[in-house]
Amino acid sequence: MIPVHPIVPLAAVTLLLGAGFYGWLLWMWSGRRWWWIAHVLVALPLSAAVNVLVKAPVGRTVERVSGIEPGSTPGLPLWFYAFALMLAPLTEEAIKVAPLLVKRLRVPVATPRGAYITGLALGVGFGLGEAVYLAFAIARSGSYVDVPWFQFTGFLNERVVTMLLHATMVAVMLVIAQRGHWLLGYLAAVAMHASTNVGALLYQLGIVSQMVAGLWLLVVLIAAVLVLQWLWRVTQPPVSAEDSSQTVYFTRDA
Amino acid sequence: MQAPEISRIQDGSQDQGDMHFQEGVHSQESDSGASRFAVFRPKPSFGWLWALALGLFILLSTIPVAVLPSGGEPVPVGIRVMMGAFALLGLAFFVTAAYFPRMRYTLGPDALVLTYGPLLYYRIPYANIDDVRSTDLVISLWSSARVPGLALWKVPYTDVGNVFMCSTRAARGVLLIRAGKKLYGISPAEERAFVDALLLRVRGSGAVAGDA
Repeated sequence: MIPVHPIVPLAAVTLLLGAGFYGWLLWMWSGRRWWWIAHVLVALPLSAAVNVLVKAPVGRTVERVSGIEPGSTPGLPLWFYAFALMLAPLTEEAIKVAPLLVKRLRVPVATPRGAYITGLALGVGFGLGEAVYLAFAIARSGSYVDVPWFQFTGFLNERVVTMLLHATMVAVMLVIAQRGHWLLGYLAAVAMHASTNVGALLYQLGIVSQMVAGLWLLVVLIAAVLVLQWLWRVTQPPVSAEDSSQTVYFTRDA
Repeated sequence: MQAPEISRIQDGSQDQGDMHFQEGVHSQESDSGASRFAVFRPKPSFGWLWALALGLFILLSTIPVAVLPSGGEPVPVGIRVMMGAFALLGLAFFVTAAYFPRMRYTLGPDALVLTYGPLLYYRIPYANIDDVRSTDLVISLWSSARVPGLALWKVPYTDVGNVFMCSTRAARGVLLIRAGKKLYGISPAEERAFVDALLLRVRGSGAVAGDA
């Protein structure tokens, strides 16, 4: 029997749950259409690509040049923490929208609502791929092999939440970019991403406890939902009587 | 209909056990049009299956953590308590699924009554009804008691705000009833027949009916 890392079952559940739930939301919000699936699919390998091809080499280069070994050097300089904080946002937010270099995938971004849905789809795809990548990395490292499979629910919870956060960041970026401000949109997404990671960084610095870091993630999640609600309203297309989905049977105001 | 049942409806009683409804569309309208009960069922859906699956998922993911030992070390009491709370949530989904067949829309003499077994009771006086329309709603990300095919209690929607739902449709094809500042969402299986019967009673209540 081939040994299977205990993270595998809940990693599979994470993918099914994330794809199912966010796929349903995208289907509902896109007006029950399926064009966004292409954006989810092309975004799947992006997390692995940016980690393997960009973040890891850049991190190793910085460590070699500075002589810093994060695992052994005590009292790392502050600039290194700033670098660690910003590396992911700067690189990941850029690669998330890389598929839009393909003209056919860029078409929906012509409208505000299309930009919103496209951003969500790219973010969800990135988040799904990231979950696969992380599960694979954990399994390959041999860590946590003694942990029972049912205790990886923390992985499930964190990944499902992170998918939503990634979706929010790209949606913000594209809604702003759709109005002609690509750089501003990118910087807004980078800022959101960095602020999400601040809790974890402060915990590593010993400034806050693990519970506070966890609460910070909860605050970020609530803020993301509020942002998505606000984006939905500001990207509302004009409603005409012809395409109204309502049937009015009675109204006292008539 | 017997007078005790009618008065029970008017009193807003939640005791459904002694009520003898005639199931299905009640087409026997009197001249007044407002003295008979008419009971309507909701549109069929698999909402009960979603609720059941969610309850099962929650229980399967929480009970092992609380019960089974981890690497020889006992699970902390705090974790067990938290898992117990999640288990109760799972049971709540089971109970919700169990009462799915009991969803009803009852047109009484003075009010429309929405019920979901003993779990939900909304009474909407005809005189308060301002607007009735069928529409598609936009799902919000905020947590609420709604799954595909089932929406209950107060559910926030992005486009219209909070809606008091008793529906087998979470968003699409919801019959939205506005009564004052409150919105109610239902999904009668025979929507046109229901609306006709409802408007008959709304007119009979003395309210000015602006039929669209």
